[in-house]
Amino acid sequence: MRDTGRQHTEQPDFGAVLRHELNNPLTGILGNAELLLAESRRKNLRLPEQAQARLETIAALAVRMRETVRRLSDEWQAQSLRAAQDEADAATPTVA
Amino acid sequence: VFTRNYAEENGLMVQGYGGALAKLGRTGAGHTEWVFEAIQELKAGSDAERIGVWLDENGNFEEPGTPPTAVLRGEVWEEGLGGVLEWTRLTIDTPLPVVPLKEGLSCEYELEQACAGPILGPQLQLRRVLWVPVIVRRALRGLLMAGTRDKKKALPCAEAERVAQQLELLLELEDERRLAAGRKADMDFWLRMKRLLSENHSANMILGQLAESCTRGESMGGVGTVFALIGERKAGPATTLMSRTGAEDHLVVRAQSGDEAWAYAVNAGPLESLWRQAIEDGRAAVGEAGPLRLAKDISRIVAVPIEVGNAVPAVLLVALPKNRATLDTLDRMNWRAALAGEVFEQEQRNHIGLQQQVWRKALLESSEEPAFILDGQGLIAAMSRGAQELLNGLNGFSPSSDESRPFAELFLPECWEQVQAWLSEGPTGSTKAAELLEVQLKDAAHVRLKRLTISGEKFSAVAVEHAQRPSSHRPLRDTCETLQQAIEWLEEGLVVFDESEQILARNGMFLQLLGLRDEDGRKLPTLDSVIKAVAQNAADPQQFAADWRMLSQDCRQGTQEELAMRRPIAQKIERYARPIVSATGKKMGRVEVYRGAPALRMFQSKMALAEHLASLGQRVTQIVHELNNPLTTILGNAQRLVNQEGHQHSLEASQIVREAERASGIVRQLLNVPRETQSETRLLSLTELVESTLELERRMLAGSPIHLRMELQEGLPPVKGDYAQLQQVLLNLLQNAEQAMQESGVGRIVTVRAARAAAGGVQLQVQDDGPGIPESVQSRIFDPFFTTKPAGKGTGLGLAIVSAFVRQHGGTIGVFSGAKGGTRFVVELPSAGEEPQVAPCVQLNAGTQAAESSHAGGILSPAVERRVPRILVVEDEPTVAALIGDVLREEGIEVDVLTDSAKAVELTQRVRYDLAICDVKMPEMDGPMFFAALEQAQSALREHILFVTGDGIAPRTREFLMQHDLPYVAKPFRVEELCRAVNDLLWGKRRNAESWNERSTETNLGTGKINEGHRASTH
Repeated sequence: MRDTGRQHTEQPDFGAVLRHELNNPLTGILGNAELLLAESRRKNLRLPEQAQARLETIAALAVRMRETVRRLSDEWQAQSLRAAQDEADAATPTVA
Repeated sequence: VFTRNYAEENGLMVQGYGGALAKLGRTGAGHTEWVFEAIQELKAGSDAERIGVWLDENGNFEEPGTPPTAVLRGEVWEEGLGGVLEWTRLTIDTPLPVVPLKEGLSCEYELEQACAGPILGPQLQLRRVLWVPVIVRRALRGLLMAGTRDKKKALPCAEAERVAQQLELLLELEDERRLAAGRKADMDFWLRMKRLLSENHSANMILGQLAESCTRGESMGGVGTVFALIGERKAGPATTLMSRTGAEDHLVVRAQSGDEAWAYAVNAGPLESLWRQAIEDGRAAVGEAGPLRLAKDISRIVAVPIEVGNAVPAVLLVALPKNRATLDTLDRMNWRAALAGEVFEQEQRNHIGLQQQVWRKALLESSEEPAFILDGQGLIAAMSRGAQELLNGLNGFSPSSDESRPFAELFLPECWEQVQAWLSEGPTGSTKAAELLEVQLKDAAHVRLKRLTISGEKFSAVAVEHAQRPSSHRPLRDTCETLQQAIEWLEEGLVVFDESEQILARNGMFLQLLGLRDEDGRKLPTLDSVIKAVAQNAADPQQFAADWRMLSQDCRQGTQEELAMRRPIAQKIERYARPIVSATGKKMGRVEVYRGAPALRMFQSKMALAEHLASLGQRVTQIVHELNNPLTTILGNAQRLVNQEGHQHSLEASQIVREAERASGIVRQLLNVPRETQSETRLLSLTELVESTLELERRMLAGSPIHLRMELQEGLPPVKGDYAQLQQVLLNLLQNAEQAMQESGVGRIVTVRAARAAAGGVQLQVQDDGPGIPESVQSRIFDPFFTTKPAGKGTGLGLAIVSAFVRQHGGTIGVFSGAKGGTRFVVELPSAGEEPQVAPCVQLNAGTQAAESSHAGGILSPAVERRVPRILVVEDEPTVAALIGDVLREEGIEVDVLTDSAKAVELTQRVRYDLAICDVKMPEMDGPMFFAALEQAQSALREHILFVTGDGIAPRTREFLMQHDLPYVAKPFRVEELCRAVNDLLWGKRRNAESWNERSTETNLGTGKINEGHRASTH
């Protein structure tokens, strides 16, 4: 029973999943934005100033989000580890 | 015809001449130089019109008796012409006088007489020819030729003999040098092998080096074979397809070097016959490489048996290149095979040694008698199981680190010297040695040490005999501790009472089943105190207490009963009780065993997980907030791009939109992880919940072959809970069933049942006839992020959310799925225990949102072209603020954007705005404070305000918005969503903006998705 209990309370690595799930769309966002920016530079097309600004904003924010996600998932992991440690401490059998 | 002796007999040897050729041998020049020099020497003082000199290519050895096919390489000089190129290669074949040349005889002849066949090669047009062979160790290694067109001219017979002798010497020297270099390299190699063997390196590694030394080039000390392979014979036919069926054994490649393809051919065809022959004959077998496809530059394949004792366990197979097929090479191969034999022998020895070691250890460790093997210093080298147990009973000895500790430390310090002295007396048999020694162990037990007869010079074996059995003198305290540890690991709850109902022992599971914490349990020493603490957890406290007290008075043999508990979870637990009776028949106490239902035991472990999830909820809110702001801006900007740059870059831009929507979908799902908050609880009817939810779901399933059935028991007691959460539970379970059925194509009916549960609660069942859940997966389906779907489809949160919500309601959830398919989820919820007074459960119509899609369009519809509206945007996040401003300005609205809410309040007093859009969470003055300031100033704007939230509606925000019935849009939002809300508020259709009283299912996962047609109509 104790063994199964331990198995089930094993923490899912929420941080890693979060990072994985969000990084895919973020990559798509960043990639496409940079693609558009690069294309306009290469072909020497002047994008309308506003569009250029929008793309730059998108790219910058995607980078920022990626950093946020990384930081959050690291913090999360640290927290989960602490929680697991607490749990392990609590599970130490008591002696009458 | 004349022989070599002819020159000597006639004294024609010219001493001291031809020093240049001899010198060449010393300087290490190549064959080309030798040939050139030889021609020069033959030319000098001779009438020959054509001179040719050929030598073999670097030691191409012709074994005696083999067909004369060798090719020699050399030069031909022609008077008046110089070098004649076409004769640089010479095949020793007719029309040359092959037989005498092979036997070392020089020939001189006139061509019309001597040669009947066609006159070819360097003899062309000559009338008189002299051939002199170069023979080294009975093998033809080169040829000299001199010829004239005129029969009468003399040929340089003596000169040619002399040059031939010199070349023979040079070749011999060259051979010996090569041989010496090879032998020296082999010697070095042998020393290295010896070292490797002595260091006990793995046999495969050493064999690998051996094989590699065969293929290594000669200049590197190797033999230069094309490949080398050491194969070990194993019983049974080979498993490869190429093998000959029915063979008794086959070769397993232990090491190889060179072309790997050979390893595959080893158990078939010519290679197989070759190694079998080598084993049969017990000596090297040489075969032609001809028939083998791989044989490109190979002249011979050699199999050398590797002998160990009288057996031939392995074979060394090598392929010799064209210029290495010499007897020396064969020697070196034989020698390597001998080395390999040593390696195999050592391997066998090691194997046997290792086995013996294992056997000895097994024998030693199985022994119940405490026995120690000590080394010369009195350190423990090994011990028996009995000894291990003895040590475990002594403080300060841990099972892992006892070996190599001083033996004396087992005893009381005052005995140390005595023990050491006794040990150093020497083995049994020496006259002065005492066989026995009485000492005290560390725990003061008296033991007798006995020297065992197997003791030798460098080690001694000692048996420890107890004066008494160890258990009888072990302190009582230790015994108690051991027992406590043991019962702690039981799956059942266990408690032991003495005859006065004092608790002697209990384990954690006992406390857990009855709903006590460990620290509380310690404070309860008697039956009475436990009953007092626990009775309220029982379904019927009085009965519970009475039953237990009854047990103390009258405990017959093996009483068994069932207890209905309400807390920590509603469940039935079984109790077995049995009296403890002394040998004399006196009652000494009672032992009780408690067992929870298996499904519930499983659930208890789930609870721990759900609890953890709840504590993570707080963190999730924070994450969502931090991610939503940038996501909103990205989404908005990308949508503007799609609309504006439409034709040029629409593909990339719409991809950005899609990805951003996907990301926001994920973030929204995170919202559904339960938070550590009080949910909105009220009394509600499960019947109504099921009815309205199924109606919703039926609409979703329109056109699908799946049918929903409803079986509702009448007169169900109400449940206290959060309608939205419970609806989510049911929806998630339904969707889970539907997805499984749709994907597998199995099953078509989902049945939802609501009925009374056994323990007075209410039970909700969702049963499908779908494919079922494999047993291996069942234990994990409630884990967050566990999903059987492919990546990108579903986050695996659905059932985790279900489990967490049910837990928040104090309920239980279980899953039953048989091997034949079909799955039944059973949710049990505690009833509120009152008459069903069904609260006005808010019109839960998730269709509201979908219906709204028809209501879209530009904010300024042409019909209402009045004055230009003016909107105030208060948002601390500059990018989001700028985006909202952009969007609205493009709609022709006048917008003021402020990031400072205090300044915004000031502005409202001076400027008349039609609408304020305000972020909820801001530093200093936040949304609610901004709203309060407007109220205080009695600004009309307080009626025209739209809130923007980034934290996924935290409870506080939710409360605030509900209290004032305020509309909001949640980040990340789509441009249309914002436009629609603004449109509705500006033109008085406020009810259509999202507000708390209309949109009651916060947890709707589809919020972020708006159909495409909608987008088109916006602009």
